[in-house]
Amino acid sequence: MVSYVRGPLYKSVKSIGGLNFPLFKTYLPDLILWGGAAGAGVAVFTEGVPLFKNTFYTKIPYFGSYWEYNPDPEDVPI
Amino acid sequence: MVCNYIASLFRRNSIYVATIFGGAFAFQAFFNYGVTSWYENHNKGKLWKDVKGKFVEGADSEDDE
Repeated sequence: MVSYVRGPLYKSVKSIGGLNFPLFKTYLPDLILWGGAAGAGVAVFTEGVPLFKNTFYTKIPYFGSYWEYNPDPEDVPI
Repeated sequence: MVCNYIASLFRRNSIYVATIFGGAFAFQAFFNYGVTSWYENHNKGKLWKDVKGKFVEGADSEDDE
């Protein structure tokens, strides 16, 4: 005896804006790498900004001293 | 092998772009440091930090010349 069903039973994965968790997991390595690339891009263009210099670049081990700038106060123009 | 190592930089666009930006960040610091060192060595004795003692009273490098 064949038992019939009314139709296929679909299950849907929870998703936000078309992005579900298994799909997000496959994207994750790329997202991390692009995040790193974006961070490096920001670093290139903020290399001379004092706030970035003091907050991040002076703290780079061994090379950090390159971004340190401590002139004699009497040599700094007002 | 060096060839495989270099090829791995091109395999993913994200790694390629990150390598370029990382290289640019390192190179601009290295290049600036190199040029500044050369300039200061080339002009030794003529720079403000070398002659400051001659012009400023009580500067610490007065005994230079």
